[in-house]
Amino acid sequence: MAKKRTVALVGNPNCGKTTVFNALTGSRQHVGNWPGKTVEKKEGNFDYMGYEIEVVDLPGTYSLTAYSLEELIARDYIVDEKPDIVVDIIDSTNLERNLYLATQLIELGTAVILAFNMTDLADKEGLRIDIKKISNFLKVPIIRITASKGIGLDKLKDAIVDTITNKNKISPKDKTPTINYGTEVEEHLNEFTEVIDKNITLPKKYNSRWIALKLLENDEEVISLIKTIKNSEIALSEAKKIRKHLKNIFGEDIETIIADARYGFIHGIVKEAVEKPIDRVSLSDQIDRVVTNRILGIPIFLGMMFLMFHMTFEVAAPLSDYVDGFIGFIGGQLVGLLESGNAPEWLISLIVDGVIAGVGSVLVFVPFIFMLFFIIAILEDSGYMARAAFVMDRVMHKIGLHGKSFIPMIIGFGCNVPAIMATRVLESKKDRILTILINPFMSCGARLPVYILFVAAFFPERGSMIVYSLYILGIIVAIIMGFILKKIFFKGLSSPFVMELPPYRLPTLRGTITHVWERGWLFIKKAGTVIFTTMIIIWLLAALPPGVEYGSEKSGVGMIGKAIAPVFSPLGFGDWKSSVSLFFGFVAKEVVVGSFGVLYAIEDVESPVGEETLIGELQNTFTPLSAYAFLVFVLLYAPCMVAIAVIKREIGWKWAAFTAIYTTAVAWVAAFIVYQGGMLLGFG
Amino acid sequence: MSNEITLNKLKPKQEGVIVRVGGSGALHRRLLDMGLVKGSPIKVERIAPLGDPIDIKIKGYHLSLRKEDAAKIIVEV
Ligand SMILES: Nc1nc2c(ncn2[C@@H]2O[C@H](COP(=O)(O)OP(=O)(O)OP(=O)(O)O)[C@@H](O)[C@H]2O)c(=O)[nH]1
Repeated sequence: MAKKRTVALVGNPNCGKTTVFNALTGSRQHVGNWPGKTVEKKEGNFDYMGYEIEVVDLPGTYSLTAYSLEELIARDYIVDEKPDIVVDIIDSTNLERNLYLATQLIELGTAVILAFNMTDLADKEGLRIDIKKISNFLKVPIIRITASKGIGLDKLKDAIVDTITNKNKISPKDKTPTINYGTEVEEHLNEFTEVIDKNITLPKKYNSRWIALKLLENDEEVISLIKTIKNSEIALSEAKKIRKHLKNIFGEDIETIIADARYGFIHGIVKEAVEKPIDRVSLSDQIDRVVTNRILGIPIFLGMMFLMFHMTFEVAAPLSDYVDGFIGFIGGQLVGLLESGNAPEWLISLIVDGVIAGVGSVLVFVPFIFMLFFIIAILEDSGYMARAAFVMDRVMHKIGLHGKSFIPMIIGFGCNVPAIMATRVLESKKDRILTILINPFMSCGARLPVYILFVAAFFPERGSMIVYSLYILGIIVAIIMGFILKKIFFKGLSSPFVMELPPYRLPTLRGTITHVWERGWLFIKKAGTVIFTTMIIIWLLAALPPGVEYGSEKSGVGMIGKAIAPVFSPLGFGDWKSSVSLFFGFVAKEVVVGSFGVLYAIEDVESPVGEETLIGELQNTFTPLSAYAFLVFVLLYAPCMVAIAVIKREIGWKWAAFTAIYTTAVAWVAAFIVYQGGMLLGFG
Repeated sequence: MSNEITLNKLKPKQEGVIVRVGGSGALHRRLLDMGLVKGSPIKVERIAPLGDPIDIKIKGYHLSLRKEDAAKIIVEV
């Protein structure tokens, strides 16, 4: 039996952690260039010299002081779960900031190995790093690696095993502290450490100097940890006293003093051990001169967005048609097969109207989604997304969101499903939830067929104006709801915009493809299963009770339609057929058109004759005012169930249910205002 | 002559040395963690096209900050 050990990989965002993780464990992982993207905890393992090493890839973090949710994950894992070894991946081209985290890890007292990554880039920049010197200063092993080329990884594995085998020799307590905070602070720190040792029994995994330091730093996590232990009041009041005392002496809070000392210590080391050529303007800086230029910045951003859309919808649309055709073909074949096999009618209906229609509605999205993810992956991995956030933050800040919320909003005009997934680029969970909650108001492509049909029936003269007004209405409602939801759920939690602009990098094909595949596959798998079940439920409702005509007045949906129709009466469309079509529209909004077809028993709504008959029927049912109210409702009410399924996956079923309900409520109110207001103004 | 002003007042390409980092709570800490500590040279690289945020260079890397937050940082130029 191999002996098991756990190794945690930590590091600043973008230091190449995921690349190291992949190289060590060989598992397929996402590689990105967006600061703070690795959100989930990823695990893998490898065998080496008789040990089975479990590797945990933690979210990127700049410090052990938890700030965002992802950083909290990393911090909690390192501090509370205590992996046997922490490997801190250091971006060698950005030593000072990267070593800041390293000093905190060393102070924590865990076994740390530093892996100096990106050495190829450091060499190219002409940096000469004396690893040995740094290692002596910090008293931890340092290994040089180039993760993207797989260089130095065996040495890293050796270092891991070495650390395991003589781990017990260096106990954190008999090490002299690495960083000295100066006589005044040190004196108080030592005294305080003694107070803690004397009065409090700490769990074994924590060392008292570290606890003392963290209490002086007023670290919330450590304070709440200490509060669970007996006699904590003594330590907490002592900490308060010392903080006050030091503040009086230095005229500054102790957090500042400590951070100054850490960075000062690192600065000293880097000065001693690193030879730097004179700063010259890097390629990345040159690109930024153009891309975030005062005059060109916005046009370039808009151009990028346009290109993204254009590529997605122009390139993927034919593919989508192809998929659609293919599904139709399979469906036809299957029906033929079933009919020749004398399958019962209900089974054929279940398969054709339920399974194939349902799964098909997912599959036609797939080309769009893969294309969009491909482009987003390139934008992210290259570093452009951070610039887009930089350029757009001003606008987004005005409406209570974050610069990075912009991208998902734009994508929403194409399809809300990838848009919701794209909120992953947001670091703060609250920003993410808020961005997801208002995303469905961005009028997606699936709503367009409904607009087109109604415009043809009621507003042939002012068609584009009507459609345009709906898009604008969606944006306005999103902004208003953003304001309101922020006030209700996320009051005062505006996260400051302190964002690294990582250097531009050429995305690797492998990285991009893994990225696209992982996101795309998740979509197919998770959304697919939900849609499959929902379609079957809806089919059952439309086909039951037995013997009823599919989707007719007497079927389950017909009865539901009749039951809910009164709700829509005040909005001007209280007949059961429009209720049923809205009900079906929850599957996918373009289905609204198809269900009118079914309900009015029109064979092919897409044929000219069929469309004309349908338009005639609609004109009998709606007035122009109620038609517009209906469109407003279609725009705003619950997003399709694929979107709901994705919201559930991203932020949980509670928010998913909330989204479905509140958007529908908003839609009702808006349509009510349109219809009743229009009546009052005499448009009825 | 040395002169103390807040970081948001720096013009693009202007350099300075950090004297004090204000702000409170999470923002204050975050700025410290990101290397905005006393004595560090800092340079405003550019301002975003819409006038906010700004792109600064600190400890050899680029960081973007909103002006309202930059106003809490005092630099000597
Ligand atoms: N030149 C060079 N590039 C590297 C090296 N290691 C990683 N990269 C690249 O750096 C980028 C970021 O790598 P990731 O592995 O995604 O970094 P990460 O730290 O996991 O990033 P987050 O998940 O955002 O925290 C990718 O484009 C990698 O291909 C290296 O040693 N040299």
